[in-house]
Amino acid sequence: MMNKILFSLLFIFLMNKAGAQVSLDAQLRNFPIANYLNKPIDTLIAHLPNGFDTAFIVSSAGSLNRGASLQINYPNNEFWIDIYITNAHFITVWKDRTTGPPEVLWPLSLLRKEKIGSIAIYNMLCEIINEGDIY
Amino acid sequence: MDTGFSENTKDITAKFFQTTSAPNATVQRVMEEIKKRNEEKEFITQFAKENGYPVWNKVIIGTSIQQNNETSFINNNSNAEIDTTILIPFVLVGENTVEGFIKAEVKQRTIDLSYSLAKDYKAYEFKQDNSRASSTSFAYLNILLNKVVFGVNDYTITDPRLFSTDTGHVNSNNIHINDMNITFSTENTYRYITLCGSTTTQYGFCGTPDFCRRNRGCDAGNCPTGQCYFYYTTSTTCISTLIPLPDPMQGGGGTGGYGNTGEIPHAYPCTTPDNPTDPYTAQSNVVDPGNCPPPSGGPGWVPVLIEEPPFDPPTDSIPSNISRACDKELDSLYQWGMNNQFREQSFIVVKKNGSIYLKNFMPGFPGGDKTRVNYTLAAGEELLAYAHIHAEDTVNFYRSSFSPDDLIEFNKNAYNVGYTAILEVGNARYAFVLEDVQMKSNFNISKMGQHKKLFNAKFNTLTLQYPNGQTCSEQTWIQYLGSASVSGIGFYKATSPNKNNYIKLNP
Repeated sequence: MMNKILFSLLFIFLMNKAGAQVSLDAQLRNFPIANYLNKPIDTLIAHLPNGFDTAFIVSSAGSLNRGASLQINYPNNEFWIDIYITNAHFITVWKDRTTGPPEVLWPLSLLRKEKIGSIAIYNMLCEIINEGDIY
Repeated sequence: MDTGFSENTKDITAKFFQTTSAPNATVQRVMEEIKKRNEEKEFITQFAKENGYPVWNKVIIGTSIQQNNETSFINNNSNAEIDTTILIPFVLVGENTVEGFIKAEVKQRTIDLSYSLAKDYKAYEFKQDNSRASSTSFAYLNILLNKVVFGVNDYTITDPRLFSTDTGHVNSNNIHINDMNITFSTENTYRYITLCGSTTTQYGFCGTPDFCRRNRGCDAGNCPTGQCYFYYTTSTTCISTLIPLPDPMQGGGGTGGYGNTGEIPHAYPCTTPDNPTDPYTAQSNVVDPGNCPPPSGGPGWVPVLIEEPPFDPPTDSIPSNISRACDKELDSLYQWGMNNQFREQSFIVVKKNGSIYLKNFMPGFPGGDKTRVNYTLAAGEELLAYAHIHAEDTVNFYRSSFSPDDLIEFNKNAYNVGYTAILEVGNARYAFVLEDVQMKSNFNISKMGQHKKLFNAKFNTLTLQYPNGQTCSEQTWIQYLGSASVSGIGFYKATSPNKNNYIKLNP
C-alpha cells in the first residue's frame, strides 16, 4: 500500500514537472518576438518567461571580430535565445578578437542598451522554435 | 487543288504549321488565320527564311477582359469581351535562340496579328529602368521566351545598355532566371504583358566612367584602375511590357514600324525624331517607312549553357567542386564588400535538372549586423551550399575563419551529406562539409546549444599560442570540431592563389 502511494506521488511529481516544461516550451513558441524588435535588449530581458540563466553569453555577430550578440539560456540548455543587435550606438562593433574575450570587447552593460535586430529561440535539439527580425 | 505554290513553298508552309502536339482550339484559330492570309497572299516562305519557324507547343497564352468604349457602369459586363493574347516564338533552323515572336490578339470575331523580333529592343527607349516600352523590358520578354523554348536560365548580356541603371560605371554581364510567370492585362486600348521573374544579375562596376562600356566588362582580379569588381543582385521584378497593337490606320498593320512580311506586319516603335519613341503615341502617327527602318543587329543577349561540374559526394572533392562553381563570384563579392563596407554578403548554391547555379544574393548592410541568408528555393531546386564573405578591415584585423554563428547557420540546413558552407576571406577560403548526419547531430547535441560559449573559451586559450587571428581561429575549429570522423563535419581550407584546392584540416 505504501509503495502504491509513493508511486502515485512520484507519478504526480513527474507529471507536474512535464507540465511545467511544456508550459515553457509553449511560452517561448508563442513569445511575441515582433514586439521587441528595434527595442533595447533590456526590454526583452524584462519580459522573457522566468527561469533563464542570468549568466548571459556575449559573443561576436557574424565574423569573429565583429560584435555583438547575446545568448540567454534556460536551465539545462533546454532552450536558448540568440539575440543580434542593429545599428550599434553603445558598443564599438569592430574589435580584434585576439585582444580579449567577447565580454570584455563588448561589455554586457553596454550591449544590453543596444536595439534588437533579430531573435531566434532554439530548443535542445538545436531547432528554431520561434524567430523574427527587422529585415 | 493547284495553289500555284512551288514544292519548296509547300514544304516550308507545311513545316511552318508543324507541331509535335495538338494545339488547343485558340491556337488552332490562329493557325487557320495565318493559313487564310497566306492563301490570299503567300508570305510564309519569306517569313520562314528570314525569321524562322513557329514553336507551336511553346506558345504563351493569356486572357484579359477588354471593356468596349460604350460599356456602361450599370451593366459593365454586357459589353465585356474576353480577349486572348498568344505569343508564338519562332526560331531559325539550327539556331538555339528565339528570333522573335508572333503576337496574336484573338477576339470573338477577329484575330489581329503582328510580329516582333528580338533585335527590336533597339527601337525601344533605353530608359535605364524597367518601365514598359523600355528596351530592357522588351529584351527581358525575349529572354523569358527563350527560356520557355530552350529551358536556358543563364544569359550573357552583350549590349551593356540593357539591365543597367548606370551605364557609365556599371556593366550588366549576365542574368540568371530563377523563376518566372506571365500575366496579361488591358488598359484602355493597349495590351500589356506583365512578366514577374526572379533573376540574379551580375554587374561589373568600374571606378573609371565608361570603362565598362569601352572594355566590355571588368575583371575583378585584373582591373587597371584597381576599383573594378563584380557584384550580384537577386531580385523579383515584374515588368509590364507593351506589345504594340496593330494600327487601325493600316487596317491591322504595324504600329510605328514597317518592314512587313506579307500579311503579318512587323511591329516596333519608331525612333526617328518626327515619330515619338513611345509606342503609345507612335500608334497615332502616320509614319513614313523610309524614316523608320527596322532595327538591325543582334538581340543584346546570348544564352549561356552551363556545364555541370563534377559532383560526387561524399568525398573530399566537394568543397573544391562547390568552390569552383562560385569562384569568381566569391572573389568579386569579397572585393565589392571591401570597397563598400558590405561585410557579410551571402548567396546559396543550388542544383536543378543537372545544372548547378547560384542564387539569392543578399548584400547585407554596410557595416553589417548579422549574416543573413535567403534559402528560398524554386520547385525542383536542391540546396547544395550557402556561401558568404568576411570582408574585414585587413589592416586592423586578421582574416579570421568561421565564427560560431557560421556553424549555427550551417546547421540550419545540414541534413544531407555533402551540404557545404563556404567562407571567403580574401587570402583563403574555408569550408564546412557535412560528412555524417548522425555524427553531426550527436556533436551538436553534445554541445547543448553552447557553441558560442565553448568556441569562445577555446579561442581564448589559444590566443597566446597563435597570436595571428586567422591561425588562431583555424586551430580553434580544428580542436573544437575534432576529427571529422567523430563530429561528422569536415573543416577545409584553400589558400590563395588557388582557392579551389582544399585541404582537410580535421581528417
